[in-house]
Amino acid sequence: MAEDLVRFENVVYRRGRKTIFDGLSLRIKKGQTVAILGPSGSGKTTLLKLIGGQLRPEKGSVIVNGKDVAALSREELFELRRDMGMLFQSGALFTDLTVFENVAFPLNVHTDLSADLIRDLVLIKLQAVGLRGASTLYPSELSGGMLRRVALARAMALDPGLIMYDEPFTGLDPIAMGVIVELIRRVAEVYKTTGIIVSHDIEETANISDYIYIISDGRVIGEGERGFLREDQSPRIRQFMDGLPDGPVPFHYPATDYAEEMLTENQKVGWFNFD
Amino acid sequence: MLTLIRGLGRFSLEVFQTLGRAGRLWWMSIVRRPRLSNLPLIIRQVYQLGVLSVVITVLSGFSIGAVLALQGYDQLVQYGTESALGLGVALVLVLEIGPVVSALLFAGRAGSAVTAEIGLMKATEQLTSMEMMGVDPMQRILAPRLWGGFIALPLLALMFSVVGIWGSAVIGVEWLGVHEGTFWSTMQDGVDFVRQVMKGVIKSVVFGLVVTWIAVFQGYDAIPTSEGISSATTKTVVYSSVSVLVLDFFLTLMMFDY
Amino acid sequence: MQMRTIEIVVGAFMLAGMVSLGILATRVSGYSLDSESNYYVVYANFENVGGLAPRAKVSVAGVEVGQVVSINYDKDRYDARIKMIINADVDNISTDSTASILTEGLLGGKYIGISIGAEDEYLIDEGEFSDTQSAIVLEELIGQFLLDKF
Repeated sequence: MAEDLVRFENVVYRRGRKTIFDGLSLRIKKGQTVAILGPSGSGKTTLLKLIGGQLRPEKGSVIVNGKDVAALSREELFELRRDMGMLFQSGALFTDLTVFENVAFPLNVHTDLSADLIRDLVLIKLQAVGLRGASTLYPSELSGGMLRRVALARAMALDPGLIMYDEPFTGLDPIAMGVIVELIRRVAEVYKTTGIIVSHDIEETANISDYIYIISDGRVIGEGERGFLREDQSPRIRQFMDGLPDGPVPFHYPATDYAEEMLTENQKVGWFNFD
Repeated sequence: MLTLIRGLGRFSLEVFQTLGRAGRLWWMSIVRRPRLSNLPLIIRQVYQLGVLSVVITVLSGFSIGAVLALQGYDQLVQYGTESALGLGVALVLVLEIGPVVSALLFAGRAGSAVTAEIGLMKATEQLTSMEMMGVDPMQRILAPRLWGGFIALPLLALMFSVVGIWGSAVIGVEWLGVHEGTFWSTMQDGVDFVRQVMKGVIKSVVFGLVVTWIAVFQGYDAIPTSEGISSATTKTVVYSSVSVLVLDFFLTLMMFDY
Repeated sequence: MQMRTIEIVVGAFMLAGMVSLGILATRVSGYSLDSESNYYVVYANFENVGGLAPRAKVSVAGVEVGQVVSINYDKDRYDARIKMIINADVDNISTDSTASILTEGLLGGKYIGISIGAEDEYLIDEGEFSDTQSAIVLEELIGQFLLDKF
């Protein structure tokens, strides 16, 4: 049994008055590609930020590589992050640097390698995502799909043990989506990298994951190996899988009784009352 | 009434929180860990903020110097004291207009650009991704800009004053016919390096610090949407212009030693 | 743009800033370093300094040779004690010279004029004028003039 790379233990996290996670527990094994699915607004990006230590849980602990992230100092945290790559939804490439410089950035900052060696490493990564030819272009000259591929090359630059993908398939055309799916699969196979994919695109994500978590309302509502989604009959999971508008995840934002509110006297709403 | 007091309370709490965040930003990026390896980044910022502002600074400096010469001459000639033109223009430029106007120009040209750039970096998750790469954006993005602006503005202010004095000499001596020797000698007699030129330099150093600080902070603190960035950019220009003018008064008061 | 080019341009920018400071120092304020370092100090006591201010010029034959550093009240002698500095190359001011407080033009600023005496001994650092002439106060002068007339 492989050991856990990331472990969430009863994590509680609130933003303002809104509870994002309410006793979330999950474990991600080394070398696996794990999907975390959930409706939008269920705090998937927050989950990645908790792993990266950009946010700290209110209760419970996030343990990465055996260390409690919240207990690390800023320096130790930066040290830890060197072994993490993250693919942002928008790519988040540095707009004032070329594609080449973007991929070279982590190498330049974190290693003492010679310029020649860095050049070779960058070209290898760019070749892997098929954009070696675009190395002198600026991010503004690339399409959304290409941006994400460059961002992937950059996330892989230091050959991290863990790569996190934040909504990697959103807003891509089918071809670009196919390319990204293939790249993520290949990264996991070739480099034996642990992957965490946060997404609401069920089909694509489920196909390339070894293990799947579904979160909703701040906790895990279902988990299992790749095939479990189709068999599981719990209503919450069925609603999510089959895309039903109403169900355990309600269509309506919590409100008072409809009929009752319609019948009550019109109350003073703002500062002025014009009647 | 209670709403009013509550509003005041919330407002002051917000002001204090903002000041606290701004102070923390300054502490984290400048004071805590100054790094020599940032030098190339600082040089790039001196280029972005300083060199690219030279043209508007020099142009404005020349125009203001020329206008001061024209208006000053108009008044002085009535008392037959147009020989004091050089002195008057030099004092006004070196002590007040040089540091203040170049700081206002700097806020409009470089400050707003810094805010927009950092705000956009935040909105497009560039700052977050940098953090996730184990690189501190405070050190990498904010500190070089703070240093760059801090270095660039005093130099721009000096250029502004010199070009302004040159502009006034061109108008006063070449055109209006003030005697060249008198123009320069009354100036040299009345302007003291330590008591006047250095005061101007001190002012522009303070302005450089404050304006870039406001610009960097507004960018870093911006709400990462297009409205957020545009309002942050406006705030940079407004806040830094007002702070420059208010600080100018207090600095003058503090250094007033007659 | 290439880093090299940026470095050169920034270097030129810094240089331009320094040169501006240099111009402000020399051309605009007439500041020169050596005049500050090569001087000697002399003192003079005056009954009345009128409107004399620190940094006022000290001149011989109308040529500036130094400046007033400070003006203090001398408690023992009930008069004003002036400290001034004189350029080191003007080293032959005889000990019996007179220091007077004069006015530039009718309404101009006050300055110290030195009329050289006949003695062979010269004033040295920390020396003192024995003969001084106080400022002419315009109000007193007018008062005197009116009294004489009537």
